[in-house]
Amino acid sequence: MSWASARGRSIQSKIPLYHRAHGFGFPGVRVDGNDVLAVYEVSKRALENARVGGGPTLIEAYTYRLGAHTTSDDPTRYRIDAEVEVWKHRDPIERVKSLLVREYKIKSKVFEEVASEADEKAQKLREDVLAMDRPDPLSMFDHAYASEHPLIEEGRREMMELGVSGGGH
Amino acid sequence: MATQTMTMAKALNEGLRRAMEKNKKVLIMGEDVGKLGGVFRITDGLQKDFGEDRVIDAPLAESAIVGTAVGLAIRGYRTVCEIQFDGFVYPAFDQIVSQVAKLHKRSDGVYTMGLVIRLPFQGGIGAIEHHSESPEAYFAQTAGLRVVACSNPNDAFWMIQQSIEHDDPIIFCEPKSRYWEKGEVELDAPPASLFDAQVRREGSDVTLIAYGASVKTALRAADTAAVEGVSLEVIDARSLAPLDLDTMATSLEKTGRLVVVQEAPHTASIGSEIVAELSERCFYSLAAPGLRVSGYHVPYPPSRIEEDYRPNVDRVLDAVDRVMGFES
Repeated sequence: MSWASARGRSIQSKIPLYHRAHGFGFPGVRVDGNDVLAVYEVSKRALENARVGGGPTLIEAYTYRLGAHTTSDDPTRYRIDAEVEVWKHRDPIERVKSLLVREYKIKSKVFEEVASEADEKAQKLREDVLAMDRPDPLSMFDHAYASEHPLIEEGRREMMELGVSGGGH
Repeated sequence: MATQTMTMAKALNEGLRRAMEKNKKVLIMGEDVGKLGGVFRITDGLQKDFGEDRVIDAPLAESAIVGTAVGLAIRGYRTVCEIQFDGFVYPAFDQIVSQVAKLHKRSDGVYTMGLVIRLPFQGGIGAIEHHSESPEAYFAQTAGLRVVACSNPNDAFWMIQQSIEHDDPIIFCEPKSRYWEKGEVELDAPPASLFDAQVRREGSDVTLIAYGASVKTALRAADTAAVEGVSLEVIDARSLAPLDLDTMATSLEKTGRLVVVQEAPHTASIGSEIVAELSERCFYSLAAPGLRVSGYHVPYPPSRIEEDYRPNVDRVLDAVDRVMGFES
């Protein structure tokens, strides 16, 4: 069971999503979306097929949103904890990890390094985002059109006359 | 008379509850409206009290939500469709303009499209794209539709009930940035009929016309102008299609000067219509051309600069200065 915003897949579609591809005349495949290698394999085949002119493939990577939809969402209002617990055990990262340990004897030190590198990157991303300058308000007029437009010129002029300050905090 | 203080969100919730109690044919349909109570909690608790057959959680398919309501309307049901955010209404656009707006005409009056499409509109909540738009003019331009916008809890409570009772399809615009602001709700009698504009503040120098979230901006501008000795009359349009031009013209004949405030861009907008109609009606009373203070002609900007896009007190007062300083 997956979730769109607050309603699960059962209400979104009466049939598994991958069946829908048949109506459009191309194959649909469902894959365990929490199995990294399976997703890779299915995607690789679909891409190979598309590149040799075999047409598109619909891949339904079956998964579950463990977190909330947004910072204002409260998933406890519409789903049960037991279900979330089941899906926590299917965490794709944990599954790849156990595979690497069992089949390739990867040492725990490697995972620690990867985890700390990931944490650092995430931390830096958060810091960089928070430190970003406020965009120049005049930038809202950029790229609305590919060529000159009188209403864009008018808006830009009006904003400049109002003395709206650009950039900074 | 009994009054109660509540937020606009709660007032809408209470209005919907009252409409559902009064008429068993009133249904609610939308994304996440049931268990969750809607992303803005407008339908909170209604599914629990009225059941899953009357408060229906729909798939993420706006054209299906409105399309289903069309069929239900043909069979005499009154469906209140919740479109989760303004920018999500476009997938339902064809259903709204091709079916909802025209079936009464097409059936020679046999089918009545008594349904309400609720649209949380305008910006100001720091959201991402698709969540802060003002699409009201698209619908105002379509014959067969009526478009209204509430601006305070009392209107929200009454206008939603009046819209549900109305036989024509209504696009019901809710200023989402005002959902959590409190106000007095008069529980016994509506403040006006659904299509009446209302004078929110009397004044003598300039007529300010606004709707939705912009009404509060206009009132704040009037407070500031008063300090400088300029008297602004503020009118809440409430109904955007049709417009209550009589109330507006009465004011303009007194003041001679007009400024319209709206979040939508000004081209082909509600503000354009107001200025054009009133120029026609009040031509000899006008001391200056009517001005529009609007959003710009660009896609709604990122949240950190949205306050430079939305009309603010400074921009309204700038327009007031211009109509006050106009010399013919």
